Amino acid sequence: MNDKRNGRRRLAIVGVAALTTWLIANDNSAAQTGAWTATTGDVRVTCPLTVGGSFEARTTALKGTLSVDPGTTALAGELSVVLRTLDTGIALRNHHMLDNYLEVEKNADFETAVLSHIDVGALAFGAADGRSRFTGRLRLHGTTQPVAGQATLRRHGSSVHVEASFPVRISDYGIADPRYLGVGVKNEVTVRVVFFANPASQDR
Amino acid sequence: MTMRLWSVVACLMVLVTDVGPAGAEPQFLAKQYNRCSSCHYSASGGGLLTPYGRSLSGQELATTRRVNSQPARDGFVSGEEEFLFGTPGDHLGPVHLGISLLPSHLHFKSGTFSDGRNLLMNADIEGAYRGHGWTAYGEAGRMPPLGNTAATLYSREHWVSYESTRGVGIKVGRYMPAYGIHFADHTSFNRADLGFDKYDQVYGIEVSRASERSLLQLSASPGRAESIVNDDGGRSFNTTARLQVDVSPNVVVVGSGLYRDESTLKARHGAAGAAVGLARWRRLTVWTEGDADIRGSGGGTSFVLVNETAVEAFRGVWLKVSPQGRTGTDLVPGVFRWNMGASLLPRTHINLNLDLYVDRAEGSDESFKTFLAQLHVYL
Repeated sequence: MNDKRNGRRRLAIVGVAALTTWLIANDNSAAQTGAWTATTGDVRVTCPLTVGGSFEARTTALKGTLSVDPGTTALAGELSVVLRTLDTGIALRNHHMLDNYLEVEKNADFETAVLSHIDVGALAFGAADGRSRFTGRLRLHGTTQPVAGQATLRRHGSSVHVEASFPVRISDYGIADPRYLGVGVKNEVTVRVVFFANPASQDR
Repeated sequence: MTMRLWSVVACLMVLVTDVGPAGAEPQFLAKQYNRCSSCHYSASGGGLLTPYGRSLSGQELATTRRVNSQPARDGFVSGEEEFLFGTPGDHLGPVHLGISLLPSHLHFKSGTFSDGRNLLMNADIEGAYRGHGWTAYGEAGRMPPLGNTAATLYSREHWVSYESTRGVGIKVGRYMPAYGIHFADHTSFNRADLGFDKYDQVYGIEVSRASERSLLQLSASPGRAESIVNDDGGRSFNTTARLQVDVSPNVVVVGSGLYRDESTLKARHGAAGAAVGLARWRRLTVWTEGDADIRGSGGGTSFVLVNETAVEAFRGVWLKVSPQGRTGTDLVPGVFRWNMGASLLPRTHINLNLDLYVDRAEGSDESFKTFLAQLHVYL
């Protein structure tokens, strides 16, 4: 009788351990292979001026979904920004930026900037926090170019806080030299993106 | 001399018949303009507006906005914002001109003493040529009568500068040395009290280094321009340094220093200061500057603190409050000031400034109140 009870107890312990292991493994793999949705985004493009100083074009209209492919460092999916939401702080500068240079009215492809083929290196393997170089492809003004920069990930509960920055050369995207009455924007601007990545299942 | 009478005299010396050039507007930090050079030919601010500055005044800053649909020659503004509304046409060639008129009304009161007057503070013509990194700049206008001195024709600033594509610059001529925050109000304690008032330009040389995130300006001069021209005994070697760091397009930090050797009229003295500009919200700009004014020959050290908080209540309507203070020494009492003002830009070329100053000297029971209304006509 005692042997049977002990046996059932051992079986229960093993079963619980196995179940727990399976649950933990599935949870990790869900995080590693599931989709992540970008929320609470903040995009700032720092534009240095030819006369000194700089200004920022800002938007919070960042959206996108990224997925981690097991065994690779690449992220499937993309992040996009609706360019018409960019705000430089004054209407005249917005008008010139959007209509004369980004030409967002030209066609649908010019309305958004899309970052895809993102590779965050070792950070893709579920490291809780870290900083790494990343690469990607940016489609802007109808042209796609490779980009590279630095990304920092910090876990906040089930979410991940992402901060990334990368330089963009305006001329590489066929954008005319921004200049108005002797004041121009230098060719290289810096894009800084901050957002929270939440597991896509959390958003349903 | 009683404290009250001293304070009246001191304030009168600062404000009465005080005239000054149209100064810079550091409140536009809220619009992400952290450098004066975006809108002004002078990197220190004030004076002639660039074509960009003219365009901005009409199409973005003024209450009544006129969208300029006329095509302009490359580098030139067109239409209403132009010099004299575009009347000269193309006849000026590459030269840019401006006319600045500042009719004003001044009223002051202290106890039972009060007085007021109307005066033409400024009547200047300003001109500049810029090309291939070179800038030639000059102003000519009327210096109002002061005391027994009749009004005269004089040039506040005239200089030539060159700036390389790497941002290294050199300027030679008559100019206001760079120090601290160049508030539009030349009576601000960080200007008038530290020797950067309306007639304190120097003849000298300035070297500068401008980058995306910083601006360094170093100036050296054999003396104050008026002292050199008039040989009034006030001439002495002086040097200033100013470093501005743009932490972000809306946050600026400035460090400054100056040294003036002794002259026949003044002991050797120097100053050092720091300033911070914050504009985290689109319509609010806060500047704060603190300086130590160190006087040789036992003159003691005063500390100056100036804050200017400006809010754009409505497009083209700015409200400002500026508490300022200067600590006293054994020789000079301290002073505290409240300045409250409004700046209205109803249309390009027209700017109305209304200011109330309430000054109280240390140890005095009475305040010295000044009301100043200025109509700045900028053509």
